[in-house]
Amino acid sequence: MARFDTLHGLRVVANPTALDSVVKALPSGVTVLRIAPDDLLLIGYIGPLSCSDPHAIIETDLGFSRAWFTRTEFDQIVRPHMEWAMPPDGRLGQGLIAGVGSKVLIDAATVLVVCPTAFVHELEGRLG
Amino acid sequence: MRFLLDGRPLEFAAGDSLAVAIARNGEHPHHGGCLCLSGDCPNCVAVVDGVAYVRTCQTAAKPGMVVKRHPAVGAPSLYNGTPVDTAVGSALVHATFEDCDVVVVGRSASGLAAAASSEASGHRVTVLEAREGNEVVGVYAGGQVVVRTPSGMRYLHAHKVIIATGAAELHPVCEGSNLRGILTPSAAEALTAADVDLGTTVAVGVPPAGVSCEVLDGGLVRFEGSDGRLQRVVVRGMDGGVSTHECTTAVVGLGSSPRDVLARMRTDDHVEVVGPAAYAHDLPACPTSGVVCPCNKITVEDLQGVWDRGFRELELVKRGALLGTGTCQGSVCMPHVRSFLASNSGETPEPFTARPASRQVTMGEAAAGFYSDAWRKSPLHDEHLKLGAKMDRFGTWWRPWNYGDHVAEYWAVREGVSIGDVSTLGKMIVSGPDAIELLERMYPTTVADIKPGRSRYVLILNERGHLFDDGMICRESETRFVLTFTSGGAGFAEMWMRDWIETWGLKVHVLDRTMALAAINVTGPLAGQLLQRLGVDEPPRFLQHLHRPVAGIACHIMRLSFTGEASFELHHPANRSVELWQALLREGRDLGIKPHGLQALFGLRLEKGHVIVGMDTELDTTPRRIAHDWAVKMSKPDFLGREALERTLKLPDARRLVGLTMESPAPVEGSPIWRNGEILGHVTTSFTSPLLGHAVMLGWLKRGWSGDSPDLETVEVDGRTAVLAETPFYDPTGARARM
Repeated sequence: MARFDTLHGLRVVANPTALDSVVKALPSGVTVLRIAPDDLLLIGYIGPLSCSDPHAIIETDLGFSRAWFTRTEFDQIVRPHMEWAMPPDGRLGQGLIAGVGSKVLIDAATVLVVCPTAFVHELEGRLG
Repeated sequence: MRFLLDGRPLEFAAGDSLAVAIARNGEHPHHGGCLCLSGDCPNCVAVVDGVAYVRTCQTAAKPGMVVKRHPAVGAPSLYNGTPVDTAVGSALVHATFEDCDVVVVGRSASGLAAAASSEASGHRVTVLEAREGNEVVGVYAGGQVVVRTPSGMRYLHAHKVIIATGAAELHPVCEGSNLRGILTPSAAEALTAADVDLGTTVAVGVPPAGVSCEVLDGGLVRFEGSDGRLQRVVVRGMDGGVSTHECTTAVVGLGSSPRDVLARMRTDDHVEVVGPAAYAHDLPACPTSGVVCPCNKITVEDLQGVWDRGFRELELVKRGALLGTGTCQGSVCMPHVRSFLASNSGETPEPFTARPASRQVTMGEAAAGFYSDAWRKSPLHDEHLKLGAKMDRFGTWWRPWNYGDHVAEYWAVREGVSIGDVSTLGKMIVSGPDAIELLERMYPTTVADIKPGRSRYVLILNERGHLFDDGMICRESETRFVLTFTSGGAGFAEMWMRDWIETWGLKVHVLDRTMALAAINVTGPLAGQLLQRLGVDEPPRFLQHLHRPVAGIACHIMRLSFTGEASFELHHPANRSVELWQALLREGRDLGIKPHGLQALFGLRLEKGHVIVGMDTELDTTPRRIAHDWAVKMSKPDFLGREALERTLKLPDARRLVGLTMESPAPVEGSPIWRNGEILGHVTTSFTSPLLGHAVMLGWLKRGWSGDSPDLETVEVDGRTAVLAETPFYDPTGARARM
């Protein structure tokens, strides 16, 4: 059974160079989802954060939910619902899972799946 | 063991394919034509258990199967027996998605060699072979391979796809080639191996191995027969003499051509073709008569007709004659058509491209792995259900339609206070040194003069000056704005904005906050009083916005009005929404607070004459047509759609969205608007106004308008008289929204 929890994140939109510096300055252990070159979502970290871009948008983000899977669970529960190629380890993948826009981050032992909270009921129902 | 062919039981032996079993019984699975029994031609396709275009040579016979021949003329019905599981929104044909390094299509010698080589290099290799139940139906860019299997569809993602499908035997094209009793050598070998009696058999060209037959000396001229059945073969000997040979079966070995349908789908470097599928085979002799394309029954005469009309390129000949567009996707006809063109033009054309699917797939198979649209739930969804809401789907969201009594909800808004869930509104932050430049170019209204803390209603136009969304601009600082969009239009509006930012090269950051923030609209004459109870000492005035806690929850409060009464949109973090909703209901209890759903909201806004984009507008709606010229500043030097508006404003335009009133009850939305027996337009939205005591409507008139005013005063709707009326129908000065 896939069960998702609300993710407490920090969203930072800024120029890519400034975002690179933000990522470098983060304490270890923070999960970073680089959604786009100018957009990142930090999971489990709400600051402090300084950004060299004076026009950066920095906002707490409670619009996503997440679930962790072992590689075996992921292969059994999630992978059969993905039409797209798996991203390499450590790289963010974004696409539809069971028809729901989602993000996937793989490391050696686990897989993080992130989905907008408004769609979680659909994703949980479709993954079973 | 038996199955049914056209309603008659046929015996089959263990291991028989349907085609072999049919041949064993002296029948033909189609209505004639050379059989290859290799999956290359269309001459054995039939309806199997309700599914048309099934290759019977590739389908194992099973007891109880129901097989029907395709009609001799015309096409079979495309019955799709695949039900859809509405619970998960997916077709019941199972789909799996797999990753691998290398996919080899075809367990041929060259395929196995390629697989071994890849495995030796440490790659994960998957070999797919149609005869083993893995029928590849498509190869897409990026290395995606789509496979049909008995248990469903497989989608493989590979870094490399090696196509090793080998060669296909040439089919004869000559007079009589559509008779029953003609086989390729490998088909004859397969039937002989299955102990099928071929009767008196002759062979033309390369003879089959292990098949008892008379090998004829000479080239094929034609086949002869009666009642669709082969009886004689005519050949021309080396000396030029023609001889006729009685037979029941003719085996024709004319050589081979690349089995390259999948190879012809190659669009990038992920795909490599090896072995005979990649070889340049000799073309057959130019056909002079007979059926070239057995899928679509295209004859040499048809081909000549296309050539005579001036089609010279292979791709054009294909389109002109519909060659290569049938079941076999050119496997049979391609060598003959190329030979025809080479003979006529002196140049041998390259094969035409192929596109998935290489085989007919059912709708269920095509839909495998795809899902119906996902619908969003707001953070307040369960609260709505607790309050007895009837939920419905609007603009990609589940939303409350009513809470059991939309009229009571209406009166709560007009006379007291009510709350509505507007979390679905699009919400976006725009920040950057070029933010004003962007918004001035994007919106038809002026933006630079909006002071921080103030907001403005805006239309969104495309380059043609047509309205596709609307919303609010709230200015936060010199370089930062919060924008709102309609619930259904937010997704497109964001893409639209990002496209223009990139096109114009502007320094602007954009963050979509639609799902991070929830929003509750507190509306009604007592709305301000309720906010004061919850800690907002000075609620913002009309078109002001500010950041204040409400019931201890950080909110961005926007003062506006869609209902016609004082309204405060409270935008807040999604995880605090239930808490805020409950606090508003609790503190507003003695004020008679009620939540309102969309049914009441649509009526409230209609009384105010507010347009809902997508319901009241059409794809070519301009501001003038909905009397929103006031929201467009043509004095601005430029904005999206300005050029088009400037041009069209000079033209007469009789299309108008007008207000209409009539006695209750309100007609059904979409009702035609009549005048003297002619339909002038239709009603877009209608509502029986509890306050006004009659029906109010918005509707399109295609005619009946000149200059700035209508030419008519009344029309007929639903068989009754409706009167054209000024909007707003309610509170025309807007005093109540500013209270």
